[in-house]
Amino acid sequence: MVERLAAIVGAGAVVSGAEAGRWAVHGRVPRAVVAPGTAEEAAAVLALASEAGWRVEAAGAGTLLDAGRPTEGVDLVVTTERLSGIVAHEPADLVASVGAGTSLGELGRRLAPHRQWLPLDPPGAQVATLGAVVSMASAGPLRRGHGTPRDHVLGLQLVTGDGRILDLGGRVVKNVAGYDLVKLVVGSRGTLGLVTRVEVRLRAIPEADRTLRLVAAEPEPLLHIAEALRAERIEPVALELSTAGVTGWELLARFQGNAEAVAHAAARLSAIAAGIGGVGLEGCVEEGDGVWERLGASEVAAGVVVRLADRPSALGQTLAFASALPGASIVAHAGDGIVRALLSAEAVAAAPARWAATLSEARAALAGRGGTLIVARAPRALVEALDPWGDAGAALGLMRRLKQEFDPAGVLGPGRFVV
Amino acid sequence: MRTERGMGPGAGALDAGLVAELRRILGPDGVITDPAALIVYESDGLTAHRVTPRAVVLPRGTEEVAAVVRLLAEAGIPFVPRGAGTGLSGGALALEGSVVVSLTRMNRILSLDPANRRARVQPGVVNAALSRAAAPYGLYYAPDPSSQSACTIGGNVAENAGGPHCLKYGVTSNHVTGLTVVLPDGEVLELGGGGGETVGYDLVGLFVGSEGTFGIATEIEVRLEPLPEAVETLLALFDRVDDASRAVSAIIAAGMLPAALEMIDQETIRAVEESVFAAGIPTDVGAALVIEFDGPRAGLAAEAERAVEICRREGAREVRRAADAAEREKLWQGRKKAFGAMGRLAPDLLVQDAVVPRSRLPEVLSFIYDVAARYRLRISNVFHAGDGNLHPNILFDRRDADEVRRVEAASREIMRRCVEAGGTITGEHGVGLDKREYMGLIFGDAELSSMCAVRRVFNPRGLANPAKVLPVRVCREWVGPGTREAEEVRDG
Repeated sequence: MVERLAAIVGAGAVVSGAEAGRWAVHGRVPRAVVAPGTAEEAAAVLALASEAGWRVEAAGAGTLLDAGRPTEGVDLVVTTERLSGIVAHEPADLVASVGAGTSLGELGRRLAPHRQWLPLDPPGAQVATLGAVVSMASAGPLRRGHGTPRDHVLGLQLVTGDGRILDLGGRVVKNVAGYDLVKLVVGSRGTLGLVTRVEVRLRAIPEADRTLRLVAAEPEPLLHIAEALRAERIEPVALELSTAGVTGWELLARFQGNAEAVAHAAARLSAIAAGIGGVGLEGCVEEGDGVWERLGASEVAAGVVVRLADRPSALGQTLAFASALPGASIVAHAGDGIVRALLSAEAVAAAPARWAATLSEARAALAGRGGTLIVARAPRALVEALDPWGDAGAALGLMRRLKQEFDPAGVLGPGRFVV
Repeated sequence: MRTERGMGPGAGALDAGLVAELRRILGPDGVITDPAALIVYESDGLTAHRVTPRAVVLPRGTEEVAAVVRLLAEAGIPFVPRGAGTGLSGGALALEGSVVVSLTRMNRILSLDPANRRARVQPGVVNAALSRAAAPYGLYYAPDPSSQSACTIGGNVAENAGGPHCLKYGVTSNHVTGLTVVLPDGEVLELGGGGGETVGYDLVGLFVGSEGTFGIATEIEVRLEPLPEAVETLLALFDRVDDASRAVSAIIAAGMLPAALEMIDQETIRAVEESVFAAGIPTDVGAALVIEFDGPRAGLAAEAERAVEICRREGAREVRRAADAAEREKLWQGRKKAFGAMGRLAPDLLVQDAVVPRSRLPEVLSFIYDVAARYRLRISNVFHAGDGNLHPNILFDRRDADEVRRVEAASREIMRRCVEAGGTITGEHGVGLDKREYMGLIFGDAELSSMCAVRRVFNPRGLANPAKVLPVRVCREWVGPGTREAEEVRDG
């Protein structure tokens, strides 16, 4: 197997044995890890895997391999590590074509001299690769103002499970030619193919970017503030409610735009906070991005991340479900109704059956209201006892048939995703 | 034009028993079979293509759509969903003996949820009507196709429609959060919606823009946006179209994100000024830009002022700035009435919809003018400059066979040039019937075959809006001869 792979990508781009250890999926070490240097090499690797029936995991930097259902075993990890760098960047068009293995941190550094950026801040953004972020539809606090990967990706290159190279979408900001297979691939978690290149729409770095921090002993006054902002149509690009790493609760509101508009919004927020009892206001201008990196780091460091989501107006109730989980730290996209409960892996692994039952109850309660509970990251013991995604509904049949078209041999992450 | 065709094989009046059964489901006025009444449905906004449908059915809800689709599926009769019929790609044409499923009776706003900025609507709700209903809550529906006073949300979903304000706010697919769909076998499915996160593939994103070939969206959940606190509108007049194009790039390069950035060229300005819609723009102007900013009041005037300066620096002869809503309307008039004004100049109008990278606008525009001169055609340009989404309008008379040939040749040249510039064949109108044969310019057989395979997952018998979107040869090759799919997509 290693020899056949080396014949395609070169001996230096295949590892096996102990070296493959860091690419373990839920503790299962792959028989080989391969880093194709071109889409053509990736296509040859996947065609071979399909022919040989090797179970494949698509990977970027390899930091997110444990997300998903447990695996019975993995034969091959295919990483986009060598597919990195900016393929093309036309500053005047605010569009870039980027190798899937490029980290968001690196992309940001390359764009900054042009006063441009890709406004995506998923947890672990410094090391997470663009391909992985797109494949997992991973977004962070900036989703409030800037959207999620589906809103930024104009096109991408996908190498299918059976080794076809598909150039989907385009490089222009508006495009309705044919079916939107880009949307199908975004969030498909490597089950349709390996994303090897991504075309993204960029934005100009805003003139002003300020974060305000408000603290309170209980979440209620901060929820009132969030509600007042909505009612006044003051639109932060990020609005996070959190207990992670702080005493009590904090509300982080980030405003971007021209200096005058940002100053006005910040002043309004301060005035609103002053009118609500029990809130301390701490302007965080100096801390700048540091506060957001701390928030992202808390999510990356957590052994277990459970996402509870419902309508924004139900945030209070969703927070209550999350807060009822013993020992949970809470981070919430307050404007979007999405709450992440951060738990300790040790605590969960010590009593997986009890945790599965608890989360299952919370999931049922949320489902009854139209919401979802997704286990984004957890030790094997928990995801063996509880499906991380829950019921995909009647559309599951369609999803399975779609996967069949892109991965006819069924070698891509078998059983690991919903599909 | 060249693809104009008859009713296709297997067409003809529907079986009387089937019509009776449809009437039983839909009521006496829910089925149209009278040939005179069917003429209304023979084309969409692209009137060069015309096909009279065998029948039109008008369901009132999801259950009726499902019942009708099941009945047609049993009889092996294809169908094409239709909203207001304002589409510009021939997408609503009833090919292959299709029955038209008109969704105009499904025009209720099912719920409007201001706290969550969501609405759930039936597909026949008119785009502008949704924004009107949301306005009392300080909200609106952002995608605003030029036909928004007539076009429906269902049609917008089918085409993934855009509009002038998509530069800042995104197109339809950025605003649709959930769908109830009836698949071509009559199965009803819920995709997305509610308050939860996506579990599995993003089928909502995949369905939007599928042009009626995956089934019929019978309920649509959309995101509403807060009405901006303030709006600033500018009209900048340039002697030369190149200067206007450079101003477009300079505004974006300065880090500004206007809500809209639209261009009309001299040909368009003359048409408008010669019409009842005259907007007071001097007819010797080479091009005009409508530039709009919206958002919080603080800082917006300063932003508009920066744009004024950029326009002056790039050679604008005059920049007008609206002081109030009435003046804003006036500045938009030249842009909004352009199609109506041009409709007076020639019996027929061909509108293209290619997109090019913004930085390539000057060269592509000059190429279009060159094509117009070479083929002795009148081509006017009115388009979404900020997005690079061109709308060259070719004026002609379809009774003049020589002119029709020149229009077709010019059309193809323009399309090729846009694709060579790194663009795409359609930015917001959809492929439909009209641009099907251009798909091969931007996608290879591998991509087209995957699209065909994806369509087959939703639409295995090819009964939903047959012979649209994909070039027929691709599907035929992919499935091999003699299969059901190959028969379904038979085409002359």
